[in-house]
Amino acid sequence: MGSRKLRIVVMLACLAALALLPFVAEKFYVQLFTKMLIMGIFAMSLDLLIGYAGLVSFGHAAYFGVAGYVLALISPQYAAASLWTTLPVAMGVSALLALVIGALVLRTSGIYFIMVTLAFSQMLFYLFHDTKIAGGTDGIYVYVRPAADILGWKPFDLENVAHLYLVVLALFAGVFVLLRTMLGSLFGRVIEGIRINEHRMRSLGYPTFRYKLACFVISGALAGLAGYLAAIQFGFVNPDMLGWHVSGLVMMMVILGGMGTLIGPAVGAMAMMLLELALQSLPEFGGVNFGKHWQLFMGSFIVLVALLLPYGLIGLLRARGQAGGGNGHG
Amino acid sequence: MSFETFLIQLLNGVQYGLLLFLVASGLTLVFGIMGVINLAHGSFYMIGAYLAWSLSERLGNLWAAIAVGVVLAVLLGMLLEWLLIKKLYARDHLYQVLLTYGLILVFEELRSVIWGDDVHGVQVPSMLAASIPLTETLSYPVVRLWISVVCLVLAVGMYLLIQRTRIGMMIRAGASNREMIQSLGINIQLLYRIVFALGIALAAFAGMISAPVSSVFPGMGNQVLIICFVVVVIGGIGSVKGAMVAAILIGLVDTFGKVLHVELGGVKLLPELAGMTVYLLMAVVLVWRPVGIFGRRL
Amino acid sequence: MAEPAAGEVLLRARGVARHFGGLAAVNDVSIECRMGEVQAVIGPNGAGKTTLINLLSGDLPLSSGRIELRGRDITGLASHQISRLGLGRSYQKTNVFLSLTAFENCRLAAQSRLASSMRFFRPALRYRAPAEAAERALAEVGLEARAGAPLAALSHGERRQVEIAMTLATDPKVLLLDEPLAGMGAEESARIVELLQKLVRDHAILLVEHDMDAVFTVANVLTVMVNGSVLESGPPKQIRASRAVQEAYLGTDDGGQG
Repeated sequence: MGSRKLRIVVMLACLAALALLPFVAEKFYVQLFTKMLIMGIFAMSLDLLIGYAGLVSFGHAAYFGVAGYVLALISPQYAAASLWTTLPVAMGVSALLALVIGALVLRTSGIYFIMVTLAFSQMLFYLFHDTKIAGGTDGIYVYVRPAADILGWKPFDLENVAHLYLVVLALFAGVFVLLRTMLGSLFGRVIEGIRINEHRMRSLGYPTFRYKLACFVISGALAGLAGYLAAIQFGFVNPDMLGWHVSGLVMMMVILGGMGTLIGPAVGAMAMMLLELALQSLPEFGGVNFGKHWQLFMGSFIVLVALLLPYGLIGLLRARGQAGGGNGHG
Repeated sequence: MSFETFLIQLLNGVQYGLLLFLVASGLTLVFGIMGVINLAHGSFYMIGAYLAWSLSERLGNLWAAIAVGVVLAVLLGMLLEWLLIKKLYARDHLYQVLLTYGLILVFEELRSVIWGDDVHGVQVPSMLAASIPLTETLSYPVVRLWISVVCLVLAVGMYLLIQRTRIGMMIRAGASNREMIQSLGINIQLLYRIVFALGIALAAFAGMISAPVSSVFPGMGNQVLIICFVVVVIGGIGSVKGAMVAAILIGLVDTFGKVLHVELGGVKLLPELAGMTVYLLMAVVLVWRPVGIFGRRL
Repeated sequence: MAEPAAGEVLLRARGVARHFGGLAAVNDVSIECRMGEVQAVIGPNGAGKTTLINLLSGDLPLSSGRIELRGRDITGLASHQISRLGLGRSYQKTNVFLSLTAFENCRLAAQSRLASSMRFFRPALRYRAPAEAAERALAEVGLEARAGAPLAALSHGERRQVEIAMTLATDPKVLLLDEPLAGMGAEESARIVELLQKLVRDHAILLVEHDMDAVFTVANVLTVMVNGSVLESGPPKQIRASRAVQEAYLGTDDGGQG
C-alpha cells in the first residue's frame, strides 16, 4: 500500500536525521536527545501494555528502576562492568520481577488492576527506600559506564557522548521494529483480541492469562532496558526511579503521544521531556518561583490532556488527515 | 513484650486502622457508587491536615479549625466535582487515573506555594492532653483514644446513613444499578455531588483529627492514598464493611510489624521490612480472593 | 480422535443445576446431544435455556451435576479448555470483535486451533490455515462479500452471521447455538437453516430458538424447558401433540423472535 511505504520512508528519513545529530549539534542537545530516546523506549514498553493489551499498569516504574539498581549493584565501584553481561542480567531481573508480580496482579482486572500494580511498585519503592540493601534514600552512583569490550576489541565507548547516543538510537530503533513485528504476529493478534473482548477469546479456546502474562513480562523486560540505559546516562540510581511519579510520567507520555500507536508514545516521551525542561526554566513572578513549582503547570497540563486529548497527538494528526478519523490502532 | 506494651500497640494499631477506614471508605464509596477512581483523594487528607494546622494557629483552637476546615473541604470537593470530576463519569478508568494524578501534582504544588514545605506539628487541645497511666512508666494518650472514638462514631453514623435513610437507599441502589436509579427519577447529578463531597470530607476530616498525633508534612497524602488502595483491594471495592475489616487488619499488621523482632535464617525481617508487610498481605489476598474479602466481581 | 458414528452421544449432561442464592436457574437437567442430530431447546423466557448453554460451554460453573464431552468428563473445566476439546458456542447477545473486520473476526477464531499462538515473529497472515478456515466459515454463512468490512459497519443481521461464522471457524464437533436466528431477516434465516441442515450430517447441534418455523423444519429432537427444568423431550411430532407442552408454552406463544 502506498501510505504504508510512505510511512516507512518517513521513519527511515527521521532515523537518518537523528543519526546525524552528534555531528551537527552541541553536546547538550545530544545528551537531551539520548534522554528522550531512552524515555521513548520506556514509553513504548508501556504502550504494549496499555495501548495494545488494554492492561493499565500504574506500576511500570518498578521494572525501570530495578534494572537500574541491578546495574549499580553488580558494577564494581570504580571500574567498568561488561555491557554484554550486565545488560542481559538487568533485563532478566526486570523480566523475572514482571513474571512474579504479573502472575499476581493479572488475577485482577479493571480498577483493581490499576491499584495493585501501583501498590506493588510502591512496595518495591519502600524496599529500596527504607532498607540499606542499596544505599537507601542516598541511592548508588554508577561512576564508570559499562565497557563494550569483546575479547579486546572495543566497538564503542559509552563514556563518549556521541557513542552512547548512537547506541541508544540503535536500541530505540530495534525495540520499535521488534514491537511492530510482534504486534503483527500470532501473539500480537491474540493480545489485540484480548483487549477488545477477552471473554470471547476464552470462549474461542485461548488461555488468555498466559498471553497477558507473556505480554507483561516482555513489557517489563523492555522497561528494564530503558532503566539500565537511564542509569548509565544519569550515573546515579535512587528509589525515586521506582516511584509512582515515574509511573505517572510514563503513562502520561503514552496518552499524550497516542496509545496503541507505538510511535505516538515515543513522540509523547520527547514532548514531555521538552515540556519539563521548558517549565523548569520558568522565571520568578510575583514572588513565586514558577520554575521551582513547575509541577503545578505539568499537573494542569496532564489534567487538560486527560480531558481533551484522549487519542493523543497522533490522534489529532489522524483526525486531520482522514475524513472519518482513525482509531488509535495502526 | 509486656502486656502493657502489647496493649499500647494494639490500641495504636486499631486507631491507625480506624483512621485508614475513614479515608478508605470515602475512596471506596466514590468508586463503588460513581465508578470514578480519584487518586487525588489522598491530597484531601493532606489538605485537611494543613488546614487544621494553619487554621488552628489563626483561630487559636483546634475545634474551630476542624469545623471551618470541614466546611472548606466540602466546598472544595463540590467545586472539583462540578468542574472536573463529572466529566469523568463516562470515561475509561485510564483517563480518570491520569486526570486525578495531574490533580495530585497541582495540589502538592499549591500546598507548597501556600504553606511551604516544612514539617509541622499541631498542638493537642488541652482537653485531650491527659494520659491514662498503665504502669509506672507507661501511659496511653487520651487524644489517641479520642481519635478512635470519633472514627467509630463516624463509622456507625455512616452505617446508619447507608442502611437506614432514604439517601442511603439511593446510595445502595446506585452502587448496584446506575441506570435504574436514573430511571426512577432520582437526581443522579445531585446524588453524585453529595457522595463525592462526603468522600472528600471524610478524607479531610481524618487528616484534621490525626494532625495532633502525626506530623503535618508534604507527601502525607500520597502515602495514605497508596495504603488506602491496599485497604480497598483487600476489603473489596464498594464495600464499606470490607474497608473496615481490611483497615483494622492493616492497622494492626503495620503497627506490630514495626515493633516486633523477627529473624529468619540470620536475615532480619522485622522491623526492617515493616514497610512491606502490608503489601505482602495484599499479595496473599490476591492469590486467595482477587476481588477482595467482601468484593463482588465488577 | 476418530470420527464419531451417527447417533453417537457426543455431549452428555447429567443432573446439571445452577443456583443463584436461593433461586435455581437450572434444576436437575439431563440432556444428550447426538452426532447427526439437531436438538432444539425451547421454552418461555426465563426458562433457563441460556443458563444451560452457559453451563455446558463452561461460561458458568455448575452448582451440581456432571458433563461429558465425547466420553471425557469436562465438569469444572474452563471455557477455553472446553472449546479446545471440540465444543463451540455462539451467543445470543452478539459477542464479537467490533473494531475488526468480518474476516479478521473469523481468522482470529480459527487461529485458536493452531497448536500455539506464542509466536512472535512471523506475520499472522502468513499462517494460511486460519485464513482459509475463516474464508470457508464466512462463505458458509453467506457473508464472503462483506469479509473486509469492519463489524461496526455491518447490520445487526450480518453481525449475527459473523457470530455464527466465528463459532464454525473453530471447527467444533458439537455446536451450541444460542438464538442464532435472532434479529435476522427471512432470507438470512433461511440460509442459516439450510446451513444447519448441511452441518448436522457431521456435527451434533444444540439450538436454543424462538423461531418455531425454523425449529420444526430443522430439529430432530425438541426439549422443552420451563422454570429451569426439562418438561418434556422427544421428536417434534410428540412435542406438538403433548398437552403438557401446549399448556406450558406452545399454545400461548406463537414463536415470536427472541
